[in-house]
Formats: sequence, C-alpha cells, structure tokens
Amino acid sequence: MAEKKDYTTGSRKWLIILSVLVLVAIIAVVIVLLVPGNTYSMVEVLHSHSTTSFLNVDNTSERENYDKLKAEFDIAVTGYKQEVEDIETLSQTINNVLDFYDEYTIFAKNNGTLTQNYKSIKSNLNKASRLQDDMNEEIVTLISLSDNSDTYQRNAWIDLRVIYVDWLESMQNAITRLNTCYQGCFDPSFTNNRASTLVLNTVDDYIDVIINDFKSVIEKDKKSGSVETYSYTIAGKIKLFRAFVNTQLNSENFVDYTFDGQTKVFYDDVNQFFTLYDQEDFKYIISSINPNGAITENFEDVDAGGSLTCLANTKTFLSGGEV
Amino acid sequence: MKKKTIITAFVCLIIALSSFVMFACGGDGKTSYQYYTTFFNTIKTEGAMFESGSAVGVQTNYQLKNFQSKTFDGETVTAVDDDQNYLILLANGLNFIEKYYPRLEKNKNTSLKSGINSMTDSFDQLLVEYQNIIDVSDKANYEIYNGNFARYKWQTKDFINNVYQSALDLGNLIYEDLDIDGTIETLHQEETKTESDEKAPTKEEIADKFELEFYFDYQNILILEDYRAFLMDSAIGQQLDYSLYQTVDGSLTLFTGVIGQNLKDLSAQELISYIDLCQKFASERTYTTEAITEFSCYEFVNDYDQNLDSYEKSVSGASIYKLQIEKYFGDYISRFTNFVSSNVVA
Repeated sequence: MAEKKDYTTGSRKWLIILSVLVLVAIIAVVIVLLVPGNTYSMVEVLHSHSTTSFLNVDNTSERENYDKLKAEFDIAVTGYKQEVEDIETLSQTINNVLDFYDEYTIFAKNNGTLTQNYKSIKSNLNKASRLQDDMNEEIVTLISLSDNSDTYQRNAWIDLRVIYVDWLESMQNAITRLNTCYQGCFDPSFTNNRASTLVLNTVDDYIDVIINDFKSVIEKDKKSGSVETYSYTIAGKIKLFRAFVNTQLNSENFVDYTFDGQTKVFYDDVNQFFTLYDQEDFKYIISSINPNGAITENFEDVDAGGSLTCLANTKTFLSGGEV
Repeated sequence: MKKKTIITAFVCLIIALSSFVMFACGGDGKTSYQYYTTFFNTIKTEGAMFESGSAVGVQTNYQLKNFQSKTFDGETVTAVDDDQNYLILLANGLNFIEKYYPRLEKNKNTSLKSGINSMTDSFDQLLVEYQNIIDVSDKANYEIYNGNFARYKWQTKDFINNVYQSALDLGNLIYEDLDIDGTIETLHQEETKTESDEKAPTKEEIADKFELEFYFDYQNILILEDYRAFLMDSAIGQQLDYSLYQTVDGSLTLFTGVIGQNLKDLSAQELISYIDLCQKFASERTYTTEAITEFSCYEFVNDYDQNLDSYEKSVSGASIYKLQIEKYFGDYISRFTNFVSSNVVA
C-alpha cells in the first residue's frame, strides 16, 4: 500500500503567506482611506479643483462648447436665455470663491479642524468633478441637437439643470467646510477678522438661497409640462452675488477692517444688523432680491428702530455696492 | 590583590572620563549676561569697523565704516556706498541687544551663551576681513579691493545673521516674563474704572507692569528679523533688479524711520488697540516666514528669469508665497508703520 502523501504542511505554509498578504493589503487600504488630511493634501485637492472648475476662465475648450451652446440654444428656446447666461456667471463666481480659499490654504494649520473637514471637502470636490464631466457630456448633446426640435433641446436643458444643481450643492458643501477651516485653521490676523467672517458666511447664505431657487425652477419646469410653466427669477440674485463677491471677497477689505476706521464702522454696522436679525433673516433679505437685482425687503422693523445707517450699509454690503 | 588593582583602574578610568566630559561639555560658570558683557567690551575695544552716527536713520554706535565697493570708469576709481540695508539691519540688531541685555544682570540664565559665542566668533572673523580691506584699500587695484570687499560683505552678512539670532533669543527670554493676558485684563479694568474705584490701577502702574518700551522694541526687532530673512536668506544678501526686492528695500527705510522715536502717553484703549494689532501681526508674520523660507527671490530672479510658471514647477505654491511676501512688505508693514506713527509714538 502506497504511503499517503501529506500535503498539510505545505498547504498551511501557503495559507499563512496568503493570509499575511491579505492582511497587509487590508492594512494598506485602511491607511489610504483613513489617513488624516493635512495642509499639503488639502492644498493639492483645492488647487487642482480651483484651476479646472466648471467654466473656469482658463478652461478654454469647455468654455468654447458653452459659447456654442449659448448661441444655438438662444435661437431655439429663447425663454431660457437668461438662465443659460446666469449659469456661466454663477459658475465663475463660485470659482472666484474657490480661488480665494486656494490663496490661503497653504498657510492653514494642521489641526483638528482641518482633519475633520478635509475628507468632506475632498469628496464633495471630487463629486463636483464627476458632475462637471456629466454636464460637459450633456452640453455636447445639446449642441448636437441644434437641428432637432425645441422640445429635445428643452428636455436636454432640464436634464442639465438637474446635474448643475447637484454640482452647486457639492460646491456648497465644500465651500461651507472651507469656511469652517478658514475660521479654525488661522489665528486672528489682518485677514481673519469680523469682516472676513461676515463675508464668508454671506457667501454661504447666497449660495444656499440660489440653490433653493434653482430647486424651485426644477420643481415647476418638468419635461412633461409646457414651456409656459417655466418661471425663472434668479437673475437678480446671481447678478448681486457676482457683485458681492467681486467687491467684498477681497482681502484688502479685511485688512482695512483693522486699519481703516470707516471700513471698521461699515462692517460693524452690518455685523450689528446680522446680530439683531439672525442668519435666517439675513437669508430672507437675499431672497427678496428681485430679477432686476433690487433688494425689495424694506426693513420696516429696522427703520422703526432708527438704525438707518446700519440698514443702508447692510444693503450696500449685500449688493456689492450696486444698489 | 589583582581584583583590587582592577577595581582601582576602573575607578580611575571613570574619574578620567567624567573629568573629560565635564571639561568638554560643561560650563565655565559664566552667565548669559557675563557673555554679553564680554562681547560688548570686545567690540568696543576692537571694533575698528564701527563708528557712531545716524547716517542710516538710526542713532547707533555700530555703524559700519568703509562699506564701499569701487567702480572704474576707464579713468578714475570711485568708492561707492554698497547695500545700506546691511548697515541698517546691523545697527538695529546690536542696538537692541545692547539696550536689553543688562536686564539679565541678576538672572543666572546661561541658555543664550551658545548664540553669543557664535556671534563672537563671527565678529572675530569680520575683524579679519575688515583689516584685509583696509590693508588693500590704498595699495591694490580696484578689482583686488572689490574681491576683498566681497569677502568682507559676505562676513558682514554672517555677523548680521548671528546678531539677529541672539537678539531674538534675548527678546524672547524677556518677553516670556511679560504677562500679556494679565496686562490686557488690567487695561480693560482701567478703561472701565470709575473715579471712586480705588482698586483700579493707575497709568503708571500699567506702564510698569506692561513695560511698553520693551514691548515696542521687541515688535520692531521681530519685524526687522522678517526683513533680514528676506534680504539675507531669500535674496541671499544680493541687491536684485526686481520689483519685489525693491518693494522690500524701500519699505525698510520707511519702517526704520519710525524706530527710535519717543513713545507717547498711551491711554488704556490705545494700548489695547496696539497690543491687538501686534498680535494680528504675529499671525501674518508666521505665514510670511513660511513664504520667505519657501520662496527664494534670488533663484526666482536669476535661475528662473522671473517666470512664475517655471518656478512654480520647482516650488509648489510659489505664486501664493510671493503674494504673501508682497502683501506683508508692500502693504501691512506700511500700514503698521502709519498706525505706530499716528498712535504710538509722540
């Protein structure tokens, strides 16, 4: 009788080697997934997104496509013209906000605030990038549909709008977290003070109000519905948001807060308004901006309190000096 | 007997080793104050390169003499003043140390002596280089003189770097004894006190507690250290034909114009504003120090021909660092200087 071969030792050896390899792989994956973000990785993530973001001025091919879309879509479905232009303006304004943070992140402290927010910022910006790809595909589709009926184009635009609002929400999440980092990763300095806090919080408020308005448009403008149901009134808010970012999101102003008495009085007035009327009321004022860019809230309560300068400065602040 | 011999030899070895270690690494019992005293006695008796004056806008006993290179136009050799920033930085650094080291007289601290030793060694070498340029000044042609002057200038830079390291060590040591938070609290009490409030401190008590003059000088030396870092490290002590360099160069003269003026009698509110400003400045300085460390102005101008895109490939974030340096020296310091001129000095 032939002796039975014993495979046990060899098998166990391979089993152990395999187990060790699997264990090493698991540890590597866990390290990659859970490694805390640091200033360097935050800078990398933010910089790559701020330079390639949707309709960025340097994003030539993307912008050329969008220009084609504007030209052809305007002819086909004229009612949407303002919205098409506003999306370009809004995207570039959002890019300016990202640029602002990009300018500072390199000096951020490697602390708990940074670590806690890094993952969310990264994942939201990555999601925004994926949505940007989807939007670009949709834009190419829209251009190719130029010979087809208005309905096809309108439907494609409705799809694009849904993706765009998703993109906006991802950017909003990232920007809100970046604001938290800005306040928490820098000591009080010439550019981190009450003026910058107010401005950065107002950026968040503007984006929030605009997203809600876009959602309302999505709700009413369905593919199944008629074009008459389309109601777009966000133009004024986007116009003022653009002006606000151009004027207020400016580190020169933040430095002036420390050195220039008049600038300090200005921002303290707006801060006083913000304190008297909480953040929801502040958003309410932004919501009151009509399609022409006029703030329609008349601040009767504030007038009654006799704080006219405070009210006037708040209007000037929100409108970037355009009202 | 054999065992006893081995033990004795072992004990002797231990004693010899201990003595060697104590001799090599141990102190000589002198305090930082004594080291500074020796240093200043030396430069007063042997510092042939110094003279008293205020040619660089600062009243000092440590103004460098003969800090001149020579040019030749084909007919005549002319001596021309070299980089005056060297003189400004050195005079202010030595002034600060000379003014504040006596505060250590009753302090047994010895932690500063390694820095003082480095500064002394650098001074000794500077003396050698100074003697060289004096020796060749009248005898050698202008090219040989300039070669010797380059060595003198290089050594002056080394001396300035050592002086600032020692000045910062000294300033930090004294600053740690100040209770800034306590002072601010006291100032707020002063601001809100009523006439009947006898517990509130008087202005004189605040001034004593706060040591305003030291605080003011310390802030100045910190800012001068930023200038030193940019001019001597980032620009490696060379005068560069580049706008950022010229911005820094021009603002140093503006800044030092304010230094040395008498302080005015500040109210509690004015003091609070000033301290607040200095604290904000400290944060900006942190970012600027990082920017200067990363951004080599000399390399940017000479190796990259001022091309930011090329330099950015080598130094990630170079454009942000450059921007911070521009903002700091081109804007913040002039605003700070204006504030101090209007509110802090008489």
